[in-house]
Amino acid sequence: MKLSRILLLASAATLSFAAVAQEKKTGAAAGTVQAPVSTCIGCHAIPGYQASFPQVYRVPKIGGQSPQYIEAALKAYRQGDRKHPTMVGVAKGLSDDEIAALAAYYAQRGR
Amino acid sequence: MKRSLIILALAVAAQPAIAADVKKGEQLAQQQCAACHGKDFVTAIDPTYPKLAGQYVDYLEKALRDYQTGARKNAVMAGLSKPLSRDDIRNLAAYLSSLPGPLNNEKR
Repeated sequence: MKLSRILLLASAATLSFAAVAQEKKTGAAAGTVQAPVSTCIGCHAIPGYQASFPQVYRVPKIGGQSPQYIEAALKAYRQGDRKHPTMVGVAKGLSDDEIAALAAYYAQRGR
Repeated sequence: MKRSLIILALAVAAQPAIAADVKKGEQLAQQQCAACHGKDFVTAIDPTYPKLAGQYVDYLEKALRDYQTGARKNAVMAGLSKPLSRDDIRNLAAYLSSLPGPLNNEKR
């Protein structure tokens, strides 16, 4: 009796997780995944802002950039193919949907 | 005598670093880069290639240096950046950053 109740609860939990996962997967297409821009604006929304580590140069302009390039760049940082420590750290926390949403958001912000 | 030496030293020190040659950058960019990144450096032949027009000059220099050293890996860019001299990179970056384009980091 007790065991079957536990099993029932466990299967219900699994189902709801699956539902959430499914929602997350299709979110970008439906436009429901928010682009986590607050992560980016500290550096990329200040014209002339300079990265100071490991080298000093201005952080690249990304507003108006091609969305496929932004997506490729973020995925390269996430995999460690591109090495900038701040960007690697940021990208490791992003899902595919969030990357797609960010790419779309910045691509639309051309001058 | 001593004073004129000091003045001379100050004049030399005040001399700005030799400016990048945008014309040479244009020539090189149109020969080597435009085929993929587009003549206007906004319309690339493949959407995964970045727009370069109006990008920051120091970021462009860094990107090219990183391709040269292998810190940034891309088969095509590795080959193209290999033969570039320091001046070539400065000239290319100066030209590309001077071009009009949609890129910006403005807060709106």
